[in-house]
Amino acid sequence: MKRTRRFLICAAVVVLCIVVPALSLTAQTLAPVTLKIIACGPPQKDVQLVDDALSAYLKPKINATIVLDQYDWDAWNDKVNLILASGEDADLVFTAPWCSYTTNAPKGAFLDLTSLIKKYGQGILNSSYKWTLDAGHMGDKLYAIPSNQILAQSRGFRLRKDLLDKYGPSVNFKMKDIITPDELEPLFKVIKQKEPDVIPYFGIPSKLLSWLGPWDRQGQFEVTTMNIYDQVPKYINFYDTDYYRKSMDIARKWFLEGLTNQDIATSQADPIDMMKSGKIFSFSQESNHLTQEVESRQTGYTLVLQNVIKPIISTNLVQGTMWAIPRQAKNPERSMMLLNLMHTDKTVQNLLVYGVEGPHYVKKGGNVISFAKGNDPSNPLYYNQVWEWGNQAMNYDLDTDAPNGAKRLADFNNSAVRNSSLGFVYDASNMKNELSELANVAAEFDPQISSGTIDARADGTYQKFLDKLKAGGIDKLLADQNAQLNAWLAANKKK
Amino acid sequence: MAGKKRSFFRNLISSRELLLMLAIPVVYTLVNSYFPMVGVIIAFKDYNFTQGMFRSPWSGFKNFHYLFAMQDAWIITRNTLGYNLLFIALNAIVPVTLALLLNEIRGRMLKKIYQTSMLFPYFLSMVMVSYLVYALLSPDTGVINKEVLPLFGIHGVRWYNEPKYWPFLLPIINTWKNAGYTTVIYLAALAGINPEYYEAIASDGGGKWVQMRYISIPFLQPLIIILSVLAVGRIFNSDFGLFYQVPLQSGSLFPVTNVIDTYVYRALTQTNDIAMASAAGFYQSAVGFVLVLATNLVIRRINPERALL
Amino acid sequence: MKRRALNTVSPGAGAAIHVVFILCTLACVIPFLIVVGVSFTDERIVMRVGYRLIPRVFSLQAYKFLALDIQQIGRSYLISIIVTGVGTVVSLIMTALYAYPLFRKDFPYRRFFAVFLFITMVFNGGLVPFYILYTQYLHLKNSLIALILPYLLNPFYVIVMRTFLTGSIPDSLVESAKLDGAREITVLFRIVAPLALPAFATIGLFTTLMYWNDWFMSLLFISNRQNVSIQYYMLKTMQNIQFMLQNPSVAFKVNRSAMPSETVRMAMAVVGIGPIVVAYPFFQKYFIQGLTVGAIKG
Repeated sequence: MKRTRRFLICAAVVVLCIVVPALSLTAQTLAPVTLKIIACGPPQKDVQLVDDALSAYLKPKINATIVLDQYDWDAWNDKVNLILASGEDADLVFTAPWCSYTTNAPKGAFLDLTSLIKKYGQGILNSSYKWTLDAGHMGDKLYAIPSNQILAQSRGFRLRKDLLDKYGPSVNFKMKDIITPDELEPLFKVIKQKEPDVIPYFGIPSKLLSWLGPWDRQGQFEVTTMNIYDQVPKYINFYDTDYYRKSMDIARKWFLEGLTNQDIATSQADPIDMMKSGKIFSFSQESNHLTQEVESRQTGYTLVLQNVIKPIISTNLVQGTMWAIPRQAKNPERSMMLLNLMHTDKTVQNLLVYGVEGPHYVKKGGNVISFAKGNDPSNPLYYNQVWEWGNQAMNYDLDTDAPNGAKRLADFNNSAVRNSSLGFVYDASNMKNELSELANVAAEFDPQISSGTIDARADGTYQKFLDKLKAGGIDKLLADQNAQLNAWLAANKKK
Repeated sequence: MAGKKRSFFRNLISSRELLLMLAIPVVYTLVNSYFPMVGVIIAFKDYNFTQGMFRSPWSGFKNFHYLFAMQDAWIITRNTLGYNLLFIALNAIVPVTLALLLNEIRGRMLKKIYQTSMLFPYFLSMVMVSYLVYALLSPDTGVINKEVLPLFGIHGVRWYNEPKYWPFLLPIINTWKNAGYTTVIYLAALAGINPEYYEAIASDGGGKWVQMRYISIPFLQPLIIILSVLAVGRIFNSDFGLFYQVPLQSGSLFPVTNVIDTYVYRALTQTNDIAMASAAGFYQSAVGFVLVLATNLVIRRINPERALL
Repeated sequence: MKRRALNTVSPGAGAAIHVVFILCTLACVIPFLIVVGVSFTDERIVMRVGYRLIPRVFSLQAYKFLALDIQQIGRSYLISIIVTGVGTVVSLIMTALYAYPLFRKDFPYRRFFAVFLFITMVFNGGLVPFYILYTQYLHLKNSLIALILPYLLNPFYVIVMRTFLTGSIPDSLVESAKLDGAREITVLFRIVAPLALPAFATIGLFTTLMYWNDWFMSLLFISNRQNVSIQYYMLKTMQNIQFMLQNPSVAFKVNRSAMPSETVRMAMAVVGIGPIVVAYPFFQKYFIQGLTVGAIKG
């Protein structure tokens, strides 16, 4: 009897010695795998160096070799759709609404990550806001994981400081926290008078005055939108609002008085380039806390940012940078582990953004770095998009930027206005025909009307626009959108 | 029955050399064009990634609705057809005229210079062309508004806001860009005419007009017909760059610049739907194909030698 | 009174023709010269004043920017030259092999093969199956062959060549050659081809242009930036900028320091066109009437 018991105890110990270590996932027990990351942006010259560095760093952690494949902007949407459709080698894919996320996700291009994230994505769960992860859902499936970056967005005018200082006082112009466009009019008028070669306001068709409000609008020809300041969220016909009409009138006034560029309805020029050339005084676009410094540097003129709205944050904005695991991923668990590290590991993040220390950048103490001698940012060996990866807050600070980027980023995001629609994603599968037609109607009428190049009220074009929107099914679209929104709100309140 | 079978095999054997010549190109065509052609079924499917092309459920003509059921369906179709018919006519008249005239130039050097220069526009992409057209027609800094029209006392023409100019501008730009290319074809054809024919007529007292009428143009006729019929096959397609980039997407011009391809493009930017894109392509192909067959039939009645197929 | 050479136009008509062509030449060449001119202009002047033929402020800035990447440009040029050279030769042979049987009137399957080819001209399965074929089945991703293969047989060129042959080769010639016991392939390359030089030269030129101008295949199949054709390398900058204009919310995020300016885009267009202007005269001599080798005798 004693012998048997001793034998059983020995056996138990032996078994435990084998099983327990096996249960803890160490890299030694993971099979080696190559993970291919599909990202957007210009391919970098030294990408092989970065691949090697990433692989060397990650082998002990998740036993993976990393290959980064990047496709430039022009071809990105086509390429990523081809990769998803053909099922070729891909383990982690960048996605966003502007590159077909909302169409591809419900059609099965991406895996549902709900269980994967619980097992291998704790870091992501811990470091993301609840509404960030909500934005990656469609229905109750988690198709993509938004990255942490500058999520909020404000909108405003950039003014050239030298001319502002010169002529501002004569019209008693005061910088404010928030301004309405017509308050800039006296300033523009005096610029036009005193500086005949400078265009006071340079507009382009996708960023006209009407867009400068607190609207959830990313694409140029979206016909419906939400007012983020509204605490009770609702989809509305963007073109049938008082704000739109007021902007239309202001734009018309400015156009007639020569305060804007003549080709404001069709311009293909880039406002940054125009500002660089010294030809313009102001332009308006989206903005964030970095705008003033970044654009001053890009244009060569000191610019001052005058915002029109407080920062807003909406699902659309949160979805601007997401990562998904495509259905063809050969090892989804490992992909999730990699994504988890991208969100939490500072080394991984900075390898992806700035490259390898030495050839690409040098540390300057603290969190600050500068470009290495052979790495010129205007024609770099490696200088990737700062916002694209897991967590922009982990980035080193460039010595040319203001310090403490992470805190400023968090502050900006937290200062944003949001409403309870944050996290709601609309499924457009049933409204494709209406969307097709309405996009064309908007493309036909909006730029000419809201640029002020025609007197849309007098010649009936504005009314025609509204009629055509109605005939194109905008009411049907709004009904569908609001129905889905309200259902989601109701379900969410219960959570 | 046996007779038919025998002549089938006889034909096969007697043309074996020609069939052998065709072997490689045909295999190539099968692999490169027919194998992927199976993708047209995407147009009729509710395509999803998990089931792929073959197992996604059928959806009949649902993906085609957005091509027809809109307010501007007539305008877009009219624009597409109208411009294409005009382009077919222009593409038959202008390059032929240029080729005939070019042949009359003495002086090899000048001939080469004229010929080479006509090809230059072909090399510029439509985006480039849109920049150049803008340099001409920009409301305030454009050459036309700033230098040319003031000579006639006309000021401030809003080229990009007035639809009425573009039914003229677009054909001019299209001809400017493409005529040089087509002229090369006709020049090569004319180079193959035996000069003795011309000399025969000339010595009989016939002038240039007579020569052109009875030799050059009849000689070019098959080519003109073939090229025109081939163009009919693409009668529902348009040069995207010409109708989207060059007018700078100006909304006021849509009544005369919106064609099927631009409409579909804008629709797809909002919906990003592979199946709907495929449906548009199929719609354009089907219409083109039917019209070519019809045209070919008509031509075959009149003169079987000239038919394409 | 000077004797006019036999069979020329009257001096008046001749002068008129010259005027027409001088105007055409100006209309065709001046825009291109403007592109060249802008590429040599200072960037800020271009933004302020617009396009002008003669640079107001001369600047080599755009070309200096391109020269930074001279290695890649050289490599892309090489790739384009190889692809165009190989592609044109193989494609010409394939086109001739298909056009000849179509031209032979006693070929019983003429119509069948004409329709067979024509259908591919009209119907298209779309990008997805094409991409799957080349990447999943033929495994040609990132291969130069993927830049050559798709264009080897162009139905339009086949039909044009067939029409040329029908117009310039008399049936009697082929019949007599066959009676002498010649094989079809001999007839094609020894007898027909020399007579149809203008046709071959035309198709050869068009094929060269098609391969040289192609950027789409590089976009689809080349994922490393080194092996792209010169046209794609040059054109993608333009297209990136177009994309930015149409997607401003993305543009706002993008790292702009590496985005080339207007003058650089013009310089890129010049660099992309360059060699063709040299290659064209090579083909040109076959179009000039009277140079046809071995005109039909008896």
